[in-house]
Amino acid sequence: MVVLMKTIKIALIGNPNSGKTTLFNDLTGSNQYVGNWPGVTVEKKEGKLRTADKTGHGGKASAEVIIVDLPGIYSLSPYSLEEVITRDFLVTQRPDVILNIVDASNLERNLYLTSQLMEVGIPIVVALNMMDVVRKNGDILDPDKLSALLGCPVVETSAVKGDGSFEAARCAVNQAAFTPPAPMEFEKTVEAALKEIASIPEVRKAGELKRFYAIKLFERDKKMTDSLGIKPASIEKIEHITGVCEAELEDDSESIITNQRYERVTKIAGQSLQKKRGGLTVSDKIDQVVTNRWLAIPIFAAIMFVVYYISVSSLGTIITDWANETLFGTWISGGASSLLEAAGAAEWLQSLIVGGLIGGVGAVLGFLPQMLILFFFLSFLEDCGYMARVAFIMDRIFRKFGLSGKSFIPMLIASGCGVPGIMASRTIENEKDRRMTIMVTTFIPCGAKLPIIAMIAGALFPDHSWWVAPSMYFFGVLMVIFSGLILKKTRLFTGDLAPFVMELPRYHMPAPRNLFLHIWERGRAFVVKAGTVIFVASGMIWFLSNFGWNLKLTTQDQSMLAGIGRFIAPVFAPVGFGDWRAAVASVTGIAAKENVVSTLSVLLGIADTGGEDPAFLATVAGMFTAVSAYSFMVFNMLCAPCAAAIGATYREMGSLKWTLIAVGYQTMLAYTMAFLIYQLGSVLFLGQGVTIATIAAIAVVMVLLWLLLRPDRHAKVKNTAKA
Amino acid sequence: MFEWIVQNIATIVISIILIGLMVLAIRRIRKNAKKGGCGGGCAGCTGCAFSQHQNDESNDITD
Repeated sequence: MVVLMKTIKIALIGNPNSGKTTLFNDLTGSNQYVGNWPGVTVEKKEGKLRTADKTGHGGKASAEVIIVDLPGIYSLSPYSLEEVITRDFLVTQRPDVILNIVDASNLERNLYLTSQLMEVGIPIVVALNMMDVVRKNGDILDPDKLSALLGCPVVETSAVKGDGSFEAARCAVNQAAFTPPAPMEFEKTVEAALKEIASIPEVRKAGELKRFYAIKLFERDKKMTDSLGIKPASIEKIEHITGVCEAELEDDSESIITNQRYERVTKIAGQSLQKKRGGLTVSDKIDQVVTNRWLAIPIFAAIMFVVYYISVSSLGTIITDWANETLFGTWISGGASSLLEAAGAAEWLQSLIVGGLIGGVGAVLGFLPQMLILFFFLSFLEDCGYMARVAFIMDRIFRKFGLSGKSFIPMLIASGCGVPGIMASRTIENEKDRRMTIMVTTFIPCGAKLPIIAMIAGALFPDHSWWVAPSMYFFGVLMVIFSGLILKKTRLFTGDLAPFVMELPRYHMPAPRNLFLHIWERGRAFVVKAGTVIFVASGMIWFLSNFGWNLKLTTQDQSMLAGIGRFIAPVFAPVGFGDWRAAVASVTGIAAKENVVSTLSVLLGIADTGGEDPAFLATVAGMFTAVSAYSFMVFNMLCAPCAAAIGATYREMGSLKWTLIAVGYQTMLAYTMAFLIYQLGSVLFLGQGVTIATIAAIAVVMVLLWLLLRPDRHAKVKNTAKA
Repeated sequence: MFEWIVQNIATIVISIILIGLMVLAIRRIRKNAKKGGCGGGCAGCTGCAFSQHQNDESNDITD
């Protein structure tokens, strides 16, 4: 019988991208998102340590052990949201033990955080991660010596391979019963100042956090002064103590602490690590090419082109064709028809199940293979470390257009799903930049939009799908840049850009488990969504398109949906899809973007096919011209995202007004772009005559050019103020 | 009446099953919507009802 003992809370703390979440997943059996760039974890995640057997020590594991994964940080200074979250957790929640994940290949920088963690009065175990990289570099790191120098246990781990994870957890559980390690000491002058600050009554009562607070107050950390409720007289005293020390050491207090910390840390690293050589690493050599000033963008464009080409146009099409024609077309639809007929089900029911539900859901699921292939490539690029470089590359470009590279991280995540992409914008401290990022993040095509791209590319551009599908990705990036340019000049978004500092992770071969998890998670959610949202929506579309206002079965042209569709279709006529079925499909995309394809499938009466079936594609092709199809695709890429993403926008914006501004801007931009593509494209590529609408389109182009090129009035005001 | 039921038994049974499936799907959608909703399967997103999170909204200490 297992006797429950005291719950032990282990906090996983370390630098960004040091492998905390990988270790967390390993220890808890969870599958939190792991990305090979800093800043993936933006909030605290909790999980229970896996079974007692895994630790190999039944006695200890009978205590319930909670593992807490915290955002990666470089220090306990409140410079970023991640640092504030982690610091507040340590101060207020007081975990029993800290498992400090240290990237052994970057020892000095990682130990800088360790030196601060030693001041919070909590036992620590250091998990030396990425030791394989240290060995590969030919360096020698002595964990025992490091342990002796730090005064806490040091355990070797390889989070990616899962080696040493449970030993580290077991060691942390044991260590929870011991006293915290002694903090590192500063120079005598500083120590004297800290002692004096610690003797102030408000600080003294902080108990085991006394030294931590004393250092923070010495550094003039305003948040700490506020949280301790330091009285004005004490503040004056602290200021005096700090000032005297600064005068003596001829530096500001924060730099004094930082420098002395680094001196101490460098000494420890020097004593425990023997570096073999200097020179460029393999990652450095690759970076010389892929982040090269002139080659970076062409290489990125070529990679994304190949990714979309393989996913949507070549390999993806072959697998999707099989899924549609054989799996959904013959086996499922054919089988269901035969079964229902043999069972004697009513005709309307057969139509509902085969034409409505299987047709709608099947049309979406038909694109699953293409989506999985796309996600495989995107996950590979993320995990190997390339996408972190893309953020760095894009920073150079985005900065010129009013956005920073930090905005590109949410966009990278949004290529899977807009919701986590929008949530990832939390790490952007500047509120204006954050709002703008939320507004433009969903312009990058997410997985749910892939079926629309694949459908239109397959139906209207069978010989040109090689460029049509990738063009949507680049069109999305273009619209992000375009929006940055015009919005940054408005009063709502004007302001200086925050600097973008990001550590580029080393390139490494992605762990198959991580790749599989990424693909599995996204694929599973896609299937579940097809079985819920798309299933219900397809049923509703079938009902509305088969019943009239008198609730009797009727032809599609007399149906309720036809009535609603004809009412809204004129709105879409100027953008090229005035056909009521296309208009209705676009509107149903608000519930979920996959609905665009499933709705068209149900409405076009493609009863027994999947999304890329030739009959379905031929019918779709009949509804559009090449230009109006491209306009349809662009509109659905850029317009208001799905309900879940709108909800995420509301949560992250924290305001209905800003949510409406975001959705309004997205829809307006989508309509404008679709209008220009259709009106100008029809004249330029289809040889249609110039009409009033063409002139209106030219006028819109002039307005957009003015918005792009007009001087930044607010910037002038700012510069004048600075001068 | 009994004759009508016998004649349409397949339609009735299948309709009941379909209604049941619809109810289950709607319940799932509502549950997901309450948690914040997500369609991309990114497990890093706490708003996602489909991911196997062992935590709930209370874990979010950013608020």
